Amino acid sequence: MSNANSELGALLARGYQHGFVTDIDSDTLPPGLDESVVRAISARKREPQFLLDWRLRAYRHWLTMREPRWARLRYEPIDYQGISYYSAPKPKGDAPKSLDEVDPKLLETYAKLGVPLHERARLAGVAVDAVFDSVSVATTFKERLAAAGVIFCPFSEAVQKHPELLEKYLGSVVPYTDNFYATLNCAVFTDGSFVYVPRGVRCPMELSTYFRINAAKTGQFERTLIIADAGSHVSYLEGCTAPMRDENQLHAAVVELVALEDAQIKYSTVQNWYPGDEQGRGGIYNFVTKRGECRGRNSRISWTQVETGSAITWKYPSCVLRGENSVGEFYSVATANNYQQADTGTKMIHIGANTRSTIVSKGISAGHGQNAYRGLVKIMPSAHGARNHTQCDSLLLGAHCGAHTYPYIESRNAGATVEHEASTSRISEDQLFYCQQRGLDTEDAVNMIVGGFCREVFKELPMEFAVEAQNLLAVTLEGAVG
Amino acid sequence: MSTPVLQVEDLHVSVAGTPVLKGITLTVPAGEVHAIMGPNGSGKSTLAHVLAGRPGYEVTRGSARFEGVDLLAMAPEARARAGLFLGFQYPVEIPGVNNAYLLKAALNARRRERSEPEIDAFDFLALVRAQMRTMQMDENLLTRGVNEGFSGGEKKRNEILQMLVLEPRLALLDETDSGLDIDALKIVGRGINTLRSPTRSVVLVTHYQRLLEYVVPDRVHVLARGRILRSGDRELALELERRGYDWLLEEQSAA
Amino acid sequence: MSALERLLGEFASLGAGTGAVRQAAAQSLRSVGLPARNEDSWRYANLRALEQLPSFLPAAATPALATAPEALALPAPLPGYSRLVLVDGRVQREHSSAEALALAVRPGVENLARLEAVSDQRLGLIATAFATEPLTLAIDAPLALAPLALEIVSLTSPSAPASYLNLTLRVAPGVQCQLVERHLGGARQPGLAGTRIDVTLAEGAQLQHQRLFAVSGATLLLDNLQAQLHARARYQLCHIAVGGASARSTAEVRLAGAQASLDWRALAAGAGPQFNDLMLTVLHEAPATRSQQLFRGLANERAHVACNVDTRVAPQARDAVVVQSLRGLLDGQGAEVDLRPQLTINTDAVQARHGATTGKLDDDLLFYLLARGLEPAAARALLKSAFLGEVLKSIEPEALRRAAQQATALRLGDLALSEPWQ
Repeated sequence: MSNANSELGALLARGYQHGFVTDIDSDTLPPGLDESVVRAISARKREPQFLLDWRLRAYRHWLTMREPRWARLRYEPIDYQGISYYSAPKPKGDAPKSLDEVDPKLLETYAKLGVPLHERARLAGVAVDAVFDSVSVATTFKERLAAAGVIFCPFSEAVQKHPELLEKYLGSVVPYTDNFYATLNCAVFTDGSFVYVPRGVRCPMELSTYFRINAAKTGQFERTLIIADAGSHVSYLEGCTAPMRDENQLHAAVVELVALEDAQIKYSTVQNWYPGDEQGRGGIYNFVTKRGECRGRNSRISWTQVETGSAITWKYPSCVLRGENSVGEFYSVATANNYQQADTGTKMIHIGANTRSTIVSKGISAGHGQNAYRGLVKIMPSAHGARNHTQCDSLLLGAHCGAHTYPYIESRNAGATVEHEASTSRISEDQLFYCQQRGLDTEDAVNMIVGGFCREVFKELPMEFAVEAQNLLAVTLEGAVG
Repeated sequence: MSTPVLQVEDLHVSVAGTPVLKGITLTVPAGEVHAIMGPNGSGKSTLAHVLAGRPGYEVTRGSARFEGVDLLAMAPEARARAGLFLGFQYPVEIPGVNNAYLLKAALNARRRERSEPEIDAFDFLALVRAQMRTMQMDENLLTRGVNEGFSGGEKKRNEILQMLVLEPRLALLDETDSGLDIDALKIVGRGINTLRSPTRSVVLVTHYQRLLEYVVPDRVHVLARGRILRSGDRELALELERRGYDWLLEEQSAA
Repeated sequence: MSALERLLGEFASLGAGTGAVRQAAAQSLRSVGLPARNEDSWRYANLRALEQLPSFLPAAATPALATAPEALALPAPLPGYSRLVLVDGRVQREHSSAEALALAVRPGVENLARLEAVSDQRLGLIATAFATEPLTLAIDAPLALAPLALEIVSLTSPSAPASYLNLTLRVAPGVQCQLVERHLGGARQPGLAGTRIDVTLAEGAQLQHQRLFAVSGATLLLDNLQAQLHARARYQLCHIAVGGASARSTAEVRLAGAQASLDWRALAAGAGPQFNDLMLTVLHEAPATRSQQLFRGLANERAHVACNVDTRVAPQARDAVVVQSLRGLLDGQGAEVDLRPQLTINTDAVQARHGATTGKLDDDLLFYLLARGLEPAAARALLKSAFLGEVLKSIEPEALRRAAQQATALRLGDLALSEPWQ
């Protein structure tokens, strides 16, 4: 094993491949946060009064809150006054109306990241709403979506064009009082994505946004709201990479999903932000609040995530199963290598009768990585016949990492069934030797075994994402066997 | 003529709002063995379960009488005590309740019903051991949890063992032959034949006729699409073996 | 006045005679305070019952009336066991056997270092502060010792509604012993039965420790147990929690020496508005340590049953094995079962698996029994007995197993009294 160890240690040393900085002038607010900053953001976005009022309520509430400490995470305190809360690429003349008008440098950046925007978009039939820092700069396939009646636009555009939908749904799943990071997001969010799929419409393509974090010392506060009206279907993809930075960068996004009667939302994430270097310096702090509400009967919300990046991940995509017979799903692969820390999982809140939920969590820890699954399955007294099944597996690669499981099972209905299974394992010398004897090198063997470990989750991803996820995982875990 | 053991008339049954049985009429006189055959999904198991009183089935029309008494008005346990036995196609495992314990509890429930005293431990053991020999079952199965870790064949033999100990007036055996190898099939057949007597009746629910080589039925009924399409004697089973069920279904569609 | 203020006031009223150890315990409590609901380890505990306790004072002396065996309602002695009877925290010499008295003569000697104030064990400080006769059992005999039964009876009175046990148990290297702890009695008025037990198993020592909590009435049970196991020590800990209007048991077992092993089996059953909350922390701190954790919880009517098992495997605990199975059964409108099968694992050389389920009685199993002629009530009782039997069947001797089963049946009101697994 020691041979394999040193061999693999060398492979592990491979650097982060997506680290570079694009040089574009930014229109950036100076660091610091007070009411005037909240007002300034709102003013720059030309927001209606109700939104400003909501932001201010959130900000005032945030002042009364304390940063949560219950997660199994260790990090230096964040200086919220040291962050700039607004950064937008300066428009050169008018805002771009098509891809041709987009700053070529920006498109080049995406190309380097392996996101050849127009190519991939056309080939894969994906509409991309790319976020460069905080402002959306390019949106494609709008016409095709518009023909189907689907609204897919930057959040700030929705503020101008669909304020009635925002007023009705914004904050209806994650209230502005929800938690420290979500409340901060409510006060200072700058942009994000908005999706509305009308009644009975099956969205004609996968919707996708590639988020980037770019400007130094810039907090990123996206806001995503997806509404699937009765009988509609939508699949949404979110992918992330980030340039290399020495300073820790805060990221506190909020995603709200609303599924009405018979509607289905599938939300997939591949997250590969900068995780910090081998010594644990730098990297993104990813404190995200994602929650969906199955509001109508027979609705379904499915979260699939592959979390390979960030120095710290604090993320619990959840489902509130209110409608009868509604279904919530959570499929997750989370890796923690070097000094990465991941505390992720889900909450399934069963309120309606015959609601069902499935949780499949695969945690992979390597190096000094710490990976925790934290999940709540709550069965309310009204949830007759509710069912949950949870499968929670950990794979440890190396002697210095940690794999932790913190489930909460709370059942208050005698007609409900909850099942939780968990296992912890490592790649055994026998498995490695077997593969080597069949001619695979250690790295291929590890990739194969890890791939098998994660298969249940990968198969939930849209095809092209599954390939990307598999590759990401291979890069993230190169040589991480001890 | 004496009262039939089982008399089903125009029985209609729905499951979750979907009609499954659409008018079954069937009379099983005392001492007879009837086979109910039919393709998968024809409603055979539904009929067995409804007669035993399983929850989840809605009788929308018709009647079922057991020795002249309205069966459908009785609770499942009352039917069992009155002498109706259901041999399950998929017997459940009950960890923590051992086989002998359940058998004794069931036997005593039946004896109380007939105002007989509870059986003493010694007699019980003698009775069970004798029947286990008939079924060629290992005695250590008695002290294991009900069906816990039993093979498929052991579970089916255990069902027949329970039947032999409980001595029902009517045994409904739901696909008892499925999943059995030829030796086990013979043993099960022998067990069923042991029970045959002028006062007891058996209804065999089965897909294949192979069990009928060991337990020769007095009557054979073909159940498909929720109705009895045809009744006959043993020859009908052999014909089904040769020709399958399709011709009957086609005949019915044509009619 | 808060419960803590009341507690400290009452402790002060006992005067200077309490001694350094008890005073230090009270001082620790003052600085750390009582647990609060927003503490994760106390999420399911009925802390309101603690807050509403009228008084923490134990009786100044055992009431004369209560020394009569019939007033104590003492069960028959377990065959082959010597016994030590405590009433309201005081040893009753006349009801105890000579061997037991000889063992327990040592006055309680406290090791303050073990009173880790900030830990979840801090309610043990209440028992330490108030227990009038702390006991130390030092089992040094190199040979196997006669098994010992502690019969702990809580009688209490409205003016002194609390009773405490503060027990330190040390088992010498290589010694095997058996200890039964039965908590009995109980009063109609709200009261407290508090325990603090500190177990140390030296190298190669083996302890079979069976605990039956069958206190009736309106009593609040606050149980605290800490155990430290040295190399190759084996600890079988069986916990039957069916007593009290409300109960919280907090156990922490430290597997400090290589190959130390814990076999924990627990049953918690509740009916009516009862709260029954168990927490177990297992610390694997040495190589090749093993722990098995088995929990079966049953909530009838409006009862709350909770089990929180926090297993932590340290980096040096290579080749540790953890096997965990937590299951809950609900049978009542308003019943609640909460399970937390937690694993914190800091080495890759570990075998750990856990499973947790909550649910109702299986409909298919019920129908099978009905189809064999069992009454619905009898069928339900049988399935519940089988469910709890996974813990009950391991209890020995038979007299204790019967007692445990009867106590459980009494609490639930709908359990088969026979042993269906026999």
